[in-house]
Formats: sequence, structure tokens, C-alpha cells
Amino acid sequence: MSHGPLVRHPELAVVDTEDQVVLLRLETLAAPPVVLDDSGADIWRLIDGQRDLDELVGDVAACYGVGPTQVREDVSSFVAGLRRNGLLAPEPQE
Amino acid sequence: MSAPEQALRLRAGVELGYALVDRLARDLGIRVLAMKGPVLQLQGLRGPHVSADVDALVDPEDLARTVAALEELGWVAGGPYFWPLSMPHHSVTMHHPQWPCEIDLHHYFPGFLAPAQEVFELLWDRRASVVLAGRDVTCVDRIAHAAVAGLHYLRHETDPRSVANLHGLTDHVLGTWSAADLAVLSELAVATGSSITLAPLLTGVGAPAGAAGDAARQVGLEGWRLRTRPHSSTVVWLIALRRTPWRRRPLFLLHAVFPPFVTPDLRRTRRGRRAQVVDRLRRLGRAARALPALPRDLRELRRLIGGRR
Repeated sequence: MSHGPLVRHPELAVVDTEDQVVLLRLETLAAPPVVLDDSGADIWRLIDGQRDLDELVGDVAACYGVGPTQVREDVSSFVAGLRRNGLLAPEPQE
Repeated sequence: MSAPEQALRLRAGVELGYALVDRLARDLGIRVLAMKGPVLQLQGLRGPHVSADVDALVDPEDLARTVAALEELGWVAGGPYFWPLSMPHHSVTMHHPQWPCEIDLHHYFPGFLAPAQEVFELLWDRRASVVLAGRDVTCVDRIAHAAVAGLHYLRHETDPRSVANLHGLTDHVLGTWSAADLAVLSELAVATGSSITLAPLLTGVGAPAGAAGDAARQVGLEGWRLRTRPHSSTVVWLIALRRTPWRRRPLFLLHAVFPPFVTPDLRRTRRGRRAQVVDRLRRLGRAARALPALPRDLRELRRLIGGRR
């Protein structure tokens, strides 16, 4: 897995309310919006184009007051889901 | 990540809906102007308010293409109810089972009595943009939008909410607009054939009077007056009933009280059922309130439309 910065896909419409983030993929308008609740919304807000996966794991762990190993699997899986759903920019080819 | 039909809330749905229509239009090269709802709010023409739908003014020549493109994305066209309009349909309402809001595509806006294409070109030339859901969305500019909002409120001038909104709009214009803005509003009203229909707002904000010859192009003014009169919806139903052949009147009356859904899928959603019940209760309430004034309204209506049945 790449350890480059995680970047949001540029072709998204995003509504961020207090308790959820809702995303619409503008390149595939037939797909319904994706709703991120609770921790999903928290993780999305930390994806700022600067942090890589390790940094993201560390910051999520700090947010929830736990150790990185306790959240690594869940965060990695969530990020993989975002990528699979076209919500993150493609990883740059080396 | 969760299923949108369970968790997508109205406010987010509306904002994303505006972004969707704008993007679709750009991809297809169709000219579309966002209006009403959050656009009004962002332009300072209305206070905070959660809208239930997405409103867009579409190039009249491309309405059918826009509807077809949305249908390809799973949206279903058709206003939910049968309605014997005294004015032509001005919009197509579209629904989607996974979205909490509707999209209303207008090919003209009632009260602008100049030809629809002419009005659209005028509004398009003045277009602006707002940011919704993090995207630039092309919209009606604030001066034209004041006219659109004014006409919308005046069309429903017996509704207390519309009265309050019209007062709010008037106060905002009075408090923030320059004399030059008012002159532009007045010129736009003349050009779009809305000097008379918009007169209460224009007068309320002290906009200069429209050109004297403007009344000559007020085709459809009678329809506007009919539609905006108190209790007019009940009167319109009665006029339509009189124009209906005897053998079809029982079904017509049934639909007047219990309107059928044009879009069958909508009936199956909880929101659709609730909306149907609320709508029926409101219709019955309006009809009951209108009954005492019906004889007078019918007399005035006959005079207004020149005695035509």
C-alpha cells in the first residue's frame, strides 16, 4: 500500500453538517450520494491532502484517545472503501 | 458509509441536488439557472430556511433533453397530482427513490409574461454563481432573483408565509439596495413583462415605474389574476368541472378530493404517503374555507374571463 498523502477526489460535491458528511460523485451522477456518519465523518474531515495513511491512523487514534494499533485496521479498511467508491483521488503511479 | 435512502437528510439532499443539476447541465451543454431555496438565502434575499426541493430554470428549448437526462439517472418525471390549471404547466417535478428532495425544472416562471425564451435569455445574460455543496452553481443573479421570489410570493399572496416572505424581501431591498439596483429591477420588470404582476413589490421598494407601453405585452395577465385571486383554486376547479362532459364529472370530482398519484412509485414511500394525506387535508380545508365566498368569486371570475365557460 502506498504511503503517499491521501487526497479527496476533486470531482465531488460535499455537504458537511455537524453530524454527517454527504458526498456526491460528479463524474458518476447516477450513483446515489454517500453518507458518512460519526467516525466516518471524523476520518473524512482529517483527509486533507497532506496526511498519509500512517498519519491519519495516528490522528484518528488521538481523536478517540486510543493507541494507533487499535484503530489501524478499521481506518485502513475505511480508506480502502473510500478509494473503491471513487471518493479519493487515484494513487499516483510510481 | 450508509444507504442514502435511510440517512440522507433534506438539507444535504437539496444542496447536492443543485450541484447535480448544475453538473448535468454543464456536461450536456444545457443552460440552466439555479433559483429559490438556498440560492435565495446565499444572496441575502431570504432568511434561513430548509427547502424541500431543487428549483432550476432551464433553457425552454432544452427542457425535454434535461428531463430525459435526469431520467437516465433514475429520476422519474411527473408532478404528483392531477391539476386543472388555469395557467399552463410551468415546471416538471422529478422524484428519485434514493433522494429526499424533488427537482423542479421550470421552463418559464409564472408572472413573467413576456415569451419564455425571451425571459430566459434576459436572465441568462445576467447570471451569477453561488457555492453549494462546495461547487460553483450557476444561478439567477440577485436582482432577477428578487423578481422571481416576488412573483412566487405574490402568486400565493393569501398564504401567510408568502406574505411574511414578501415583507422580508421588501425590507431587505429597502435596506440594502441602491437607487441603481432599483432602476435595474424596474427595467428588468418591463423587459420580462412583469411590471404589472410584480407591481406590489416594485411599489413597496420604490422602484421607478415601468414604461407606459408595458401593459400592451401583458399576454396572460388574466390568467395570472385568476390564479392569484383569493380562493381561486376552488373556483378554478369549479370552472374546470363545468367544462368537463357530464359522464366524466363523477371521476373528476373524485380526483378533486382524492387526487391520484401520477407517479405510482411515490405512493410506496413513507414520505409519499404522508405527503398525500397532508395534501388531501389541506385541499379539503381550503375548499371548506372557500365555500362561503364561492358565489361572489364565480361572478367576478366570469367577469374577468369575459363570460367564457
